[in-house]
Amino acid sequence: MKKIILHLFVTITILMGFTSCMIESGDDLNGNVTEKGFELCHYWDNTLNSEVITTVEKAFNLNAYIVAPEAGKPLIEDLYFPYYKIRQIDSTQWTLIEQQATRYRFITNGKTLSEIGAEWIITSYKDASQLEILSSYTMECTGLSTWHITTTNSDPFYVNYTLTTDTMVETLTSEPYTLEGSSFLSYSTYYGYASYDYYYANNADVFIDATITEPIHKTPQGYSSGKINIKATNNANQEIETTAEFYRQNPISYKVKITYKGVTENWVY
Amino acid sequence: MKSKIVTMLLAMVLCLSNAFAEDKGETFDLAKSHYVNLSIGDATIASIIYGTRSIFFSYDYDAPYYTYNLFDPDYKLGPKYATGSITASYYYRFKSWFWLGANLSYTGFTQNYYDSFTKERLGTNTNHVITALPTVRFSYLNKQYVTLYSEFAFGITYNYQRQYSRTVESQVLPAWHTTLIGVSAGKDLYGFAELGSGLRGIAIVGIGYRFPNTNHKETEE
Repeated sequence: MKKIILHLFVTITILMGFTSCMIESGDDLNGNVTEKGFELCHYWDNTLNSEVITTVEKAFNLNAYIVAPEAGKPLIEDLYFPYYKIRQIDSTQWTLIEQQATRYRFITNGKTLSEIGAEWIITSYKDASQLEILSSYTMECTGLSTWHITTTNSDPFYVNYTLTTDTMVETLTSEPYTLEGSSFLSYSTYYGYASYDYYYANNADVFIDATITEPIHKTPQGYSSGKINIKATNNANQEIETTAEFYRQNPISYKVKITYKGVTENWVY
Repeated sequence: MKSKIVTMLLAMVLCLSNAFAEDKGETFDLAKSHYVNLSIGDATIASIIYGTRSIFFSYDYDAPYYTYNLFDPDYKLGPKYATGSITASYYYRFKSWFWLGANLSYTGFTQNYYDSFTKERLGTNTNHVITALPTVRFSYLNKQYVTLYSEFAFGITYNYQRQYSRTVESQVLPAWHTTLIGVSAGKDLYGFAELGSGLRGIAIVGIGYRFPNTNHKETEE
């Protein structure tokens, strides 16, 4: 019996040697080490676009509608508001209606967005009840094609950016602009690309604290210049920090120089 | 091509059975015997379900689409290895053609993780898959030295996974295994090979021992 058991053991050991195998090759240990800095840069970019630029874009679109001659309004409406109905509440207030729900409310001071001194409050709502505000920003025209964008009553989160365009624009998606300032916004990883929910069970919210140290220039193709410090924290008071410096290597290649934990590496952005 | 492979497999089976044709007509024990097996199979199915992230799901794991916690230490993962699917089995042969039994299988996965900056090994992520499968087997060639059979098993599997020194999965799920064709050769000590699908693997080889029933005689069928 002992002999049989010994034979079984030896056989299984040999067979295991044949059947054990590598099923994933693993990471390149000598590859980039600043992935998290690069990731953090995307967190800031995503948050900026989803929470700020999207709303500001609506203001530019609506301004284009307001200043357009009557004959040109349908074209603006079709171009920028295919899913909304534009409603003028009074001489200074406008709303965008989506499926019977007010999604955006614009309170102006009577000036068009291109006029220096114009001050627009743009509020976006989560649902038809208008009880839950997604975001609310004040957009003030402080100079020629220059706007100061701040948040309205969103403590502790804030946005304090100055946005400059070359000329008065109808949309930001196809026009270059420059951004300066800082923001503190939340990014919920719950909606992110999560396969392991447990990772996010306790610290799902990431708070992104960003300060632009050199004006960031955005072209329709990407960020072409500028520098930003980004710090992320969570509810557990953990934090990571990175510096991103955007540059354009050639007309079609946009890159970012990420400095993370003292190491600087270049990434295609 | 497929029909050629099937034809070749059938020819091999026939050759094997003919090789033992001289046993025909002898009287020997078949039913009422106890069998214990030890086998090993590939970990393909277990890998698909538990072990790997890229066979069914084409996630882009390169930045900026990391799934890790942004605040975890900076890790890099080494290669991931799987043991074969190791199975211990017991069968009781009620009739020469009808068996009932149980399988207990283990498949393990390991993957070292390293500090991204220092390259120092920090630990090992592990995943243990233990499967218990009540099994029914039907043998349709019952010679003294060779048996051809198929079997079906349905049971449960326990998956225990630790990543970065944390338990991230500890769950019991249904499990299955189907042996489409199996062949065993030998008398009391025998070897066997199986083709099938399930948590025991797709291709399985092993050895076993039969504890013959000395009180029961049955002529082969």
